[in-house]
Amino acid sequence: MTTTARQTDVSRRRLRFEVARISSAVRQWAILAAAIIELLAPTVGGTADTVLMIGLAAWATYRLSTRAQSSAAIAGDVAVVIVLGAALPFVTTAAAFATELNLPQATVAVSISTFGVQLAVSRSAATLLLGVGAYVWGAVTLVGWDSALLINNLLPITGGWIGAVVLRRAIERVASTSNQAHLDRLRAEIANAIAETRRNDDREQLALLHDTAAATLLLVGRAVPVPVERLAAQASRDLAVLQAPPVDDPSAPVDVVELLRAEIAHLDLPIDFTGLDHLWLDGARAGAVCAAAREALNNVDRHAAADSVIIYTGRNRLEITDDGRGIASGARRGHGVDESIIARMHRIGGSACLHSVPDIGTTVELQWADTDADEPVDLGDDLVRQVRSRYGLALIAAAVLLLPIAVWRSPAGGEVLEIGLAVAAALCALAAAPRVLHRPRWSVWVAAAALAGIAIVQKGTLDESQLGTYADWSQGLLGFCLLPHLIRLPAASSVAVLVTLWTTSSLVDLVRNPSLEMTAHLGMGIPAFLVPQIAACLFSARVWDALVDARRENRARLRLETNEAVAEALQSECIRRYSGTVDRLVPLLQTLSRGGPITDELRRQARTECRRLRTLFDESGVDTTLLSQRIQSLIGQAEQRGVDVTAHVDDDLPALQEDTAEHVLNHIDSALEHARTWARIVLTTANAEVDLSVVCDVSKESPSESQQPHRGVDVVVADDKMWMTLRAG
Amino acid sequence: MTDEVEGSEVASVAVIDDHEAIQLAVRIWCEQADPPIPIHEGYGSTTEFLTAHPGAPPIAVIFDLEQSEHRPDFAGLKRAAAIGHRVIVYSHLAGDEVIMRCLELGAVTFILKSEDKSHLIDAVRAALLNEPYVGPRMAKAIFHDRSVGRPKLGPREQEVLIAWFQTESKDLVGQKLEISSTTVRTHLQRVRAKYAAVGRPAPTKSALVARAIQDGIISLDDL
Repeated sequence: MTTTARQTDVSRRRLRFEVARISSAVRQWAILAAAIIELLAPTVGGTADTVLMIGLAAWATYRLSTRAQSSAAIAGDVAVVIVLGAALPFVTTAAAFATELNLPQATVAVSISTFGVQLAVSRSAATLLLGVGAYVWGAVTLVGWDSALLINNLLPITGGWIGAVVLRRAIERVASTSNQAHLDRLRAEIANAIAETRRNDDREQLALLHDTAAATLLLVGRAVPVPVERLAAQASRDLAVLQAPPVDDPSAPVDVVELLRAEIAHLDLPIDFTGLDHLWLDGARAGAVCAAAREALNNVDRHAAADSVIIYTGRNRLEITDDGRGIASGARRGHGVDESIIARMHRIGGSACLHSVPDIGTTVELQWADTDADEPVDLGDDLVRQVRSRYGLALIAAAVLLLPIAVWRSPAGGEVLEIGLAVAAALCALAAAPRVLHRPRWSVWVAAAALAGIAIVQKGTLDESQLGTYADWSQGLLGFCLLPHLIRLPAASSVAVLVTLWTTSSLVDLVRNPSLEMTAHLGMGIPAFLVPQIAACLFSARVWDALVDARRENRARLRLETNEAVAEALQSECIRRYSGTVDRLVPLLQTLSRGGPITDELRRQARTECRRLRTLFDESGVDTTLLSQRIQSLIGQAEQRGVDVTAHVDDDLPALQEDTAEHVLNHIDSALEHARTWARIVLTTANAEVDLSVVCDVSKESPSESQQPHRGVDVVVADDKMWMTLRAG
Repeated sequence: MTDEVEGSEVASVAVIDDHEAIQLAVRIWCEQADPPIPIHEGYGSTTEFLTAHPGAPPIAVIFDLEQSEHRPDFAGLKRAAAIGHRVIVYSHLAGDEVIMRCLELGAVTFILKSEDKSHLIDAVRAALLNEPYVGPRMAKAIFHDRSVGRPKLGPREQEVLIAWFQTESKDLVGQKLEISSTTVRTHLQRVRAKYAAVGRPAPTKSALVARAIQDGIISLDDL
């Protein structure tokens, strides 16, 4: 089973893909929202501002509609960030810059954070530098060099980037290590399944042999006075079973493509196969699909007069397209199409449809359900739990880190009450820790209520002029404190709760100052805070889906490889083990089915075959050890002399040293020498040693005194039986 | 056909085997035994048998474990034993776990089709008298039993078990262990009774234990 590096990285690939999609979407939505709000309620106004906003909106809309992930698209986004930073003077005033959230800050911070999550560290660091550089240039142009103010502004941008990088790192690491673990586990499961299938198949084969031929031969060998006609009838039935083609196990995997190739061999049509090279389905479905396809091909052969036929094999469909006469619409579909094709596919839960254009051609499309997709994927494993809990902890850490920054930036931030409220909010976030790691459910509502309360109190401490500025830190930050509680809720509910919290705190502000300006201030918080918060909620659901998909893909891929391996293994084993046996049994059974004559020679042969079958059965499922093989050859020699030998060797014999094995074999040999007409050899495990026992009938002349009992060998003689035992190991 | 066996509750013997020739062979062996054992009826499947004998009085039945599906019919065995029929499993399957499972489900004994017919006859006689019987291959399975909750067997009992499997001859076992073959038989019966007293309950198992205590084969202290 070969795996490439690509295969081992399925989880990571999927996650990266999802992460890139969400990051990109967040970026564009933030820019779009900010641009629209700025257009509706501009801080500065003026043509430059308007043109810039329209341009931004257009870019964001374009990106959202094409969803490209190419380097060119990302480069475009970076360029937008630079433009945003540099455009500071056009978008905001010096006074506003110092006190409130402005569009460039919101959008640059969000964009750089998303770059931090989406891109490799080195690249996102480059975007950070470019963004910060542009922003600093814009700020300096606007207000001159004011280091404190600059740092105040750059903190959230840099902080956001650092947080994003950490998040990216955490998820990547978990994904890659656990993907390997999942693959390994799958492989082990599948190896077990193969072994299990082999064992079952073995048992089936032997059961068949025993139930049929062995039973009949037993009676013959033991000279049970069963009437010859009854034996003959039984032997005929046995022959019919043994010579019949193998019973179709409805669950055994079959290669549909192979079957089809065999089918078309006798058709005089130019047929091309496209799509999958192998299509493994269970026997029942494969049979139905092949039969339906056969019917369709027969129709093509008979009616279509086609120049070419293409058979396309997909994972759950088969299409047979020909370029022949086609079927005129309204023409009665013959029995061949309706009953055979459509009904067969319905019976296995699939469907068939026919598209035909007169003089152009016909396509018959067969579809069936992909049972792999229905299989419940094991979601209880460590990876998903780990990712969720780490994600939750990361969210808590982010909230706890952002709070001091926000409070520090707020002009009223030094006051005890402010600090106290921030601590309370931090505690709300930390309260999610047990929820993240374990499972209580009530904390969401309590936390949401508590945070709403904190917001109301915090805004109450502000005067009207401070509303909507940096002093109004609870507006944006409290959503981050609520996030860790929300990740276990379904996406829709969590978004609803967030939006409610946001709306509530916005209303508190609007009630005190119901103006367009206030709406604009609050609106700027949407791209800066609400959009990332919503994205964080949705991200968790997407990650889950991505992991489930990755699991499914792993499973499907390995299963495909396994089915091939299993079928191949079974094929070769079958031929190896049983064809020889069946070849020997058939002539015997044929003699019996003809009514005999049942000679002594026939009885002897029957006994030998019974003995061989019994040995085969005893050792089924176990690799024939060297010891067993050598015992078999000794038995063969004894049988040449006319001695009937039965042998039983334990499955779990301990491995013997070479000299011990020789010792055992020598004693078997010498015991068999004394056997007159029958012998029974038993090798069993006794602790870490091996117990050998040989019982045989001996002639009266074989004196017991001639037995030189070797050390460890016990010999018992009773009437005409001798019993030798030996312990070795 | 008079029932020659006295003092037992079970009056007749049936055979379940989808192989007609086996049914016939068993019938012939039983007729040739001394004294003969009458076979009441042969059935091709467990369902047929249970339709004919859905309840009391219980009978002894020689039961082919693998019938037409080529899978062991444990469910059928369980149903028959639950009614109280004394099931002698007669099979070509030789795995330890299969044998122990049959005993657990309430079979009175297990005989391999490849063992000598004398074992089958002895098993049938024992089943008619509700006496415990251990077949040679069954003895090995018991000897190797390592499951939790298995009864405690004495060292002598274990020696007898493995020797019985190795030789299939009570004489040889007795000679080697320097006991009489009757004593060998008693040891085997004790082992069987102990096994009937553990594991999931079944009417046949409790009947076996009760009878064994009554006959003095085991005492309550041994259980």
